[in-house]
Amino acid sequence: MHTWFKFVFVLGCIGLTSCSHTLTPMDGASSAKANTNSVTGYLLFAVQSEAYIEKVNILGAISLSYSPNNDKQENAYILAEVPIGYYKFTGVKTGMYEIKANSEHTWSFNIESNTINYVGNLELLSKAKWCDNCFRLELANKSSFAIEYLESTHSELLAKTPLVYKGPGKDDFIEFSQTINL
Amino acid sequence: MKTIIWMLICLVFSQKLYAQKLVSLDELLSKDSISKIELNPKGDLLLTAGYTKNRLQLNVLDIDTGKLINVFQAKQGEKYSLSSIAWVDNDSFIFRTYRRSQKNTYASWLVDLTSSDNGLRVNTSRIHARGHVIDHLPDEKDTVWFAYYPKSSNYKKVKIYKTHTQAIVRENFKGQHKFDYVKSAASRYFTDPKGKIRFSSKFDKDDLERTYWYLDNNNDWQVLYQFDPYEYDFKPIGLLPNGQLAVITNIKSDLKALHEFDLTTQTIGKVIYQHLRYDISGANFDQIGENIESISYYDGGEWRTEFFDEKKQQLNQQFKNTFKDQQYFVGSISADEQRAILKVFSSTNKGEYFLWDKKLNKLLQLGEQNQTLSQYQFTDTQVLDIKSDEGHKIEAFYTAAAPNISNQVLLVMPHGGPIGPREHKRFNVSVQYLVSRGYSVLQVNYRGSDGFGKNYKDSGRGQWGRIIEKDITSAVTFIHNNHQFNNTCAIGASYGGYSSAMLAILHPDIYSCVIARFGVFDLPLIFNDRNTKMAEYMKKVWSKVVGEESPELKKYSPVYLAEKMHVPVLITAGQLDTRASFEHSNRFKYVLNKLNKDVEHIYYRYAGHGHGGNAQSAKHELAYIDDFIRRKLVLSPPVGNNTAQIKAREFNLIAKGFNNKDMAGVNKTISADFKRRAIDSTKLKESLGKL
Repeated sequence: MHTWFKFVFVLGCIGLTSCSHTLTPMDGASSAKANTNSVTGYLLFAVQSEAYIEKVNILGAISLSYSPNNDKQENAYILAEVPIGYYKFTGVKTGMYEIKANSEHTWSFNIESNTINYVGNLELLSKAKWCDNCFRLELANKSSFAIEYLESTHSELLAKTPLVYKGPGKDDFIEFSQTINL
Repeated sequence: MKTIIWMLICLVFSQKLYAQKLVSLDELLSKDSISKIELNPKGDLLLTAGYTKNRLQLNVLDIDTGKLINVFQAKQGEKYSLSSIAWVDNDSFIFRTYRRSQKNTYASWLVDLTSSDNGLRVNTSRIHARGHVIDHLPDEKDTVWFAYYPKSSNYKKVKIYKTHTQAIVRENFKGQHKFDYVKSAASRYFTDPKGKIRFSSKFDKDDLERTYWYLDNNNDWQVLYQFDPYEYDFKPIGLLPNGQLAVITNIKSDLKALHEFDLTTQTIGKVIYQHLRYDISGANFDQIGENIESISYYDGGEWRTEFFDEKKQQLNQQFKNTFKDQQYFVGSISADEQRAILKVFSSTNKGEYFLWDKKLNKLLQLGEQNQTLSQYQFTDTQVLDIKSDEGHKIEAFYTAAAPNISNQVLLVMPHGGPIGPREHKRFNVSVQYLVSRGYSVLQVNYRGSDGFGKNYKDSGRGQWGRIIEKDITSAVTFIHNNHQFNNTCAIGASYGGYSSAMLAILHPDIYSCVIARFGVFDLPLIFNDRNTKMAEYMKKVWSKVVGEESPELKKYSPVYLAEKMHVPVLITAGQLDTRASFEHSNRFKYVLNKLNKDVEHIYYRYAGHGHGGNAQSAKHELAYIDDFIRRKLVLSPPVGNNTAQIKAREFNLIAKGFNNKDMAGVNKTISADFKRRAIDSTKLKESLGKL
């Protein structure tokens, strides 16, 4: 009996993790009222693309996906509450192709609890105009734009929640920006 | 109204005294009437490429009969740009075009010319084979060396053919001579002066090592040399009669010199030619590919060629005397050396083409590179040799606004790089625009610049905000000691943008404003602004330029020193810039705003690291820069008899740019303000017309 319950529990976990959770960006009104707890944090990233993106895929503590509303995204920010843990961008699906994240580069990040974790701007850039399927996927550090986005759209959340950089490489700019005094 | 009256009084006064005509941005940044000229090997046909009303056209002139035939004419709105042209033989050539924002952006074309009773007949074919010409083999009819890539998805797989040109048109190489010695590791191939594939090379990004191979007489590839191209220069030129290879290198010397290289022992041998002070920039073999004929270098920023043959050196001297105070080079020469195309240029002359006919002993002017500029008087640039406080010489270029139009502002313009690029004494669009608006401009070949030896270049490595700015300041001090200015501003792009900001931070007593274009402002960010830049080899490359990655770099980063900026700053950037990431400019702007500093910014929607070929956004930026400086330093309008008209046009251009989401972004307030100022200028022009 005990073994049967264990089996069902594991199956349930596998089922939950194999289903992708669709990210829904928070707006200013909902973020102002939001409160994370010790097992969730805020994921913040942006999508910039020179082609239509059907879905962004993220693997990790749970599987996440994001479907932008518009084609030819321009620095559209996504702020969403997610379970804490390790994640990584695995790739994007355009209208015609799956573009995988190149394993030679860093795509992973760690979501801390009670924190806005800025993980970078996911950019899908054309390699050459003469080539329809020649794209490169990159994760760029655009912390200043992320700060400006939060200041203009999620100022109340920003006032009560620490913001940290969790993208590729080490960068102190977000911390520095918080120390600037007139 | 009061403003208009005041402007009217100033302008009437200036119009009466000064007959100076302001250079128009539209004309300064217009496409060239002649962008390329090439003589065929026989020397009887001249191929010219240029733009008329912004439309690319190619023509062939029969020199002996004077008949001109149009080979290619872009239609209105087609936006073709020329990438390259080259004769394949006496009566066929290949040209390559580029179209921005088109699916097939690059296209290559083969043109065959045939003689008929009615003159030349033209047959133009699109080249379908994917690849590039390694050597046009002008001595062999309808034949080229072609590197062919069968699959667009795999550019490592290459097939090389010595092929008839029709084969590359049809993308069918059946029956063509295949080069059987493709080296799998090589990425590029080169021929020797006799048209035989002799060299190949590759760059190993993990080891930061370039390898050259040499194909010996047994058709075996031998390693010629391996070196770090970020540290040294090594450029094979061709085989000498004694079996040695001529190379330009600085591996055994501080200056780049022409050396013999022993293929058997792979050692750099004796010096063939070395200049006392400057790096050698190039060396050429004679037409039959037997002997080194000439070497070239920059002296005082001017292109110089010296010939080893006495008769050719005499002719060289004759040309120098004919084109006094200008520079020239031979663009193309007929196989029998009886005719040649000369391009003559200087800091005031964008370019002028001549046909030299040796038999007739005549120089025939073919045309100006940009005809629309011939109506203007440009300002000459002075070359300065300045002694620094540390004792070394620094070459600088000073272009002074004429006293009757000067607004007493010195613009210090650091070049980009900072390791490798340099300034030359040649026509510079930005400099001539700014000088015509009354500014004097100073450019400096600081330590880190190419052309003055390896030590001079290496001294600039890792010296951002340090030795480099010391050199620039030595030049600024020299200018200030010899000329009177009310204000000094710093303006630059890329590293120049960084340097402009640092100069004002380091010397708040000297600078009154900063224009920081497409710059880098957070040095640690250079190493990790995106995940693709964090590879080991990229870090190695950047550390050779910026210094080792370390938090110490913040001490030389304008973002972290922003509280020391006490003058107005204009930041311009390209949103698609990944070289100097767009993030740098926004960080700098963000911090300056937080500190309540005087900062303006323009972000160009489709610009990368510069405007590319987009003349509209380039004009917009220049016009805005002039306006920014005038507003911040409270300067009068520029002096000229067409000022009102020019300013109206520029204000309208700026207004339109700020009403266009695809250019400077939509800002209705700024747009409306410049539109109002354009109207004021137009009213002023009309009032002046009535006087």
